[in-house]
Amino acid sequence: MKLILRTLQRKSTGDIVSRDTKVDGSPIRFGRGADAEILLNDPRALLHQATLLERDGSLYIEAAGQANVKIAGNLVSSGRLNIGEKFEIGPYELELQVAPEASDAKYIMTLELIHPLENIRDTLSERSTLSVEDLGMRAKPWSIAIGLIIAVLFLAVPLVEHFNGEAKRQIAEIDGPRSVKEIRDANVEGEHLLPVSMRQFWQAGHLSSSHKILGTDCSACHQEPFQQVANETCVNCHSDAHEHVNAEEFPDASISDTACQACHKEHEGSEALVLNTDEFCSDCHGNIAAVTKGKSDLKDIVSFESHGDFYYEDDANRPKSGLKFSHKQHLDKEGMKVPEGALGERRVMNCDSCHVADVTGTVMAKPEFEKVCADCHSLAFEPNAPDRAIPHADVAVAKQYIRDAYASIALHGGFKPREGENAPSVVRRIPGSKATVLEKKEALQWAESKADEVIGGHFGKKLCGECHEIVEDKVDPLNWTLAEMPQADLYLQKGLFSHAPHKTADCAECHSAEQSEEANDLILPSINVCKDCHGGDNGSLVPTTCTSCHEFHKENKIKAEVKQ
Amino acid sequence: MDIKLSESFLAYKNYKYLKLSSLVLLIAFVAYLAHDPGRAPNGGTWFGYTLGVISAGIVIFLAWFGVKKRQFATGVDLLKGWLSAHVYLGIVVIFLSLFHSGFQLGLNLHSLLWTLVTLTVVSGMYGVFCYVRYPSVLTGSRQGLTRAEILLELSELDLQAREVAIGLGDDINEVLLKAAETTQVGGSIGKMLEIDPANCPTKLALAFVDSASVTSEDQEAALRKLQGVLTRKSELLRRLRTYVRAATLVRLWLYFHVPLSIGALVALVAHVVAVFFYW
Repeated sequence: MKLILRTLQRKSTGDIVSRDTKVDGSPIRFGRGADAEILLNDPRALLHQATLLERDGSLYIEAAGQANVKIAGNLVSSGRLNIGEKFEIGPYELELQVAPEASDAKYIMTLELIHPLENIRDTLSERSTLSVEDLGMRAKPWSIAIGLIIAVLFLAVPLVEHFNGEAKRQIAEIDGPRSVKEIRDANVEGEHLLPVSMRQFWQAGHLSSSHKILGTDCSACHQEPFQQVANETCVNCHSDAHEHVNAEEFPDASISDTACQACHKEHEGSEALVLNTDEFCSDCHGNIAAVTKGKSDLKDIVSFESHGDFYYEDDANRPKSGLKFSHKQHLDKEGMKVPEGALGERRVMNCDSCHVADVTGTVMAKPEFEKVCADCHSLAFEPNAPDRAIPHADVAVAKQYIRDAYASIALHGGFKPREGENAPSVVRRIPGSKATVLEKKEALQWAESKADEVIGGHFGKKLCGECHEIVEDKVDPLNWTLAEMPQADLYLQKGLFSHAPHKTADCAECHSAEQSEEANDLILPSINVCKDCHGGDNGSLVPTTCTSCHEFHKENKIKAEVKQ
Repeated sequence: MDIKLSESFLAYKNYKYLKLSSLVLLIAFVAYLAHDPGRAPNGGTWFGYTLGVISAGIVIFLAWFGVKKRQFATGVDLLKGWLSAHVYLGIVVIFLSLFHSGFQLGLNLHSLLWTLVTLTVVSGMYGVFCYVRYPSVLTGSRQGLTRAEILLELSELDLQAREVAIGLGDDINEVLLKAAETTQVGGSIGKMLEIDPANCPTKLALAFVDSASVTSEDQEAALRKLQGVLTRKSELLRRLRTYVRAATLVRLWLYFHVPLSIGALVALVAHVVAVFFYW
């Protein structure tokens, strides 16, 4: 089989250059291999790509192996070639034409590379990115995005939440004190644009535990934008704040012109609402005479270390106890004689024999006679009536009790006089036997004089006087009374002391009761005992500041007139 | 930018700004320790407000560098001074703002601001590292060739390989063709950071050629020649990728630094508004 191979080459100008070569073979092979009759010089062609065969006057093309050819747009493994019909082998397009009669070849086969290999350098450049800019990355959109997100989430949304909340507050006309329930409900119905309140992220620190109930209802306190929380906002709820001092006497120390938040700093955690430093107090109390221009007679103090000893403020007018009592005697290590006890029986007493803390543990309960004294201190007054004892009550009641007791004995009879004592027969008669009206009169007269004798004597005045100071009546010796007992429970009224945290200590560590012989002794501890453990802010076993014991607003009973 | 130039902004005027920044930090630290606000230290004390104002001023100064360096009027030496101050004050502001807040961090806008500033500064510190480390890589990796020259040689090597291989087997030609048509430098951020990607078609082609066997001597010679061509191409690719990696790292941190700094600036505004809106 002979044919003319017409290789076409398309120039960039569009012109086509052709070159004819004669090919002879049977069959004729197409391929990249050196043995191919028609050389396909392209790496994409196979060594042997296809074979051209002549059969029964027609030409057929057969693809080699797994390769294929494209005839009339279809990929096939073999097919008949028609004159004038184009087909493709690899990147080449071919067309079978009839050769001119003058030629010894029967056909012309045109061959054109229609899928040239791409320009490798350009495509490598196109595929590659040699710098970040080649990727089209720009920092600007990211900057705008992050800026916008933060501006919206942390600025715009909280502001909208604020003004929504304020609008709602004005509609509801919420002003003045609110109940806990109202506060709680306002909190629950908070104005959120998003699932969570974005205003909460404006909080630099947690609310104090007392104000936690306000939640994210920031406008409960922050009512005016760009203005510090006003005192009147605080007073809405806290209307009972007291002055620290008498504001008329010490106008400079009045809190009425001071912002609450000068001392009460919110958003500093659960326990930090009350300023708790020595400096807070020592600013004034460190130099109190100068600060008050000599009006105050308080001593200077800067910390617990310089705290003076405890004393009763107005010692000259200190209430007397009205009692005769020796702690020293009662705390005798050998114990005290038991009046009704066996011979030589002694009872050793301790502080807690009489003093027990009250239910709060803060202070000692007042010892009750019946519980702690009556065991030894019998108030029986008449051997003929051993079951009768003077009630430990008001003196008049006690005296009346004695009179009633003797009247009863006299009318009942059976009184056994002591040796040398005279008693009419009517009071000595068989108990319960009848007596005449005259006898009864005589008996009651005896009862009166006996009662007078007892009231003014050993089992009356002297019995009470064993423990109580007696106030005599110069006109009527029977009209004696007892000295008044002080009403004050606490002698240190400006300091808060609780026995509860100190109960592991022995009483005698602080109170030297064993030395006290007078009931009027206060037996206050020396402050040096306190200073063994307590000191100022730093450097002591138990750091103690002024407000650990003293309350700023309760030093004084004058209610503060808090201004804006 | 060579190493000397990049070092010089750190050492600008005999470490003037390093000394100044250290002094500022030291004074602030001593003051922080000495100051007893009577409660937990925080931004709301007079000391806290003072440090807050200073820190905010520094942040604005740091951001202003972005404007300054885009101004043509700024001379190289002046810009170097600005950069020197920018770097050292950036580190200072992390600590100043911690003193300002009394080391209180939480889930809030204020700590978000600190986090953004810190991330910006940390990304900037990485940038400083890049400016010191990579300029030598950028020049060294290309060995005097320009990027265009390397690309030209790569394509010439592809043509050479094709010519050499035309008489070799179909499988080798197929692998070569794939190597020529699909080999890529970069393409994505991840690929730009790879110096020796495992699936590089050229590398695979070289491995294929290394393990190929042929029958004739001519083919054997062609195979050896092909190995030489592909080895050279691999070497050039490696060099170009080393360059691209360094060039990417030198630029990439800015894509974090700049958006983070804008975020920090907006958060600073929000922080100040939030604090004084609810004073």
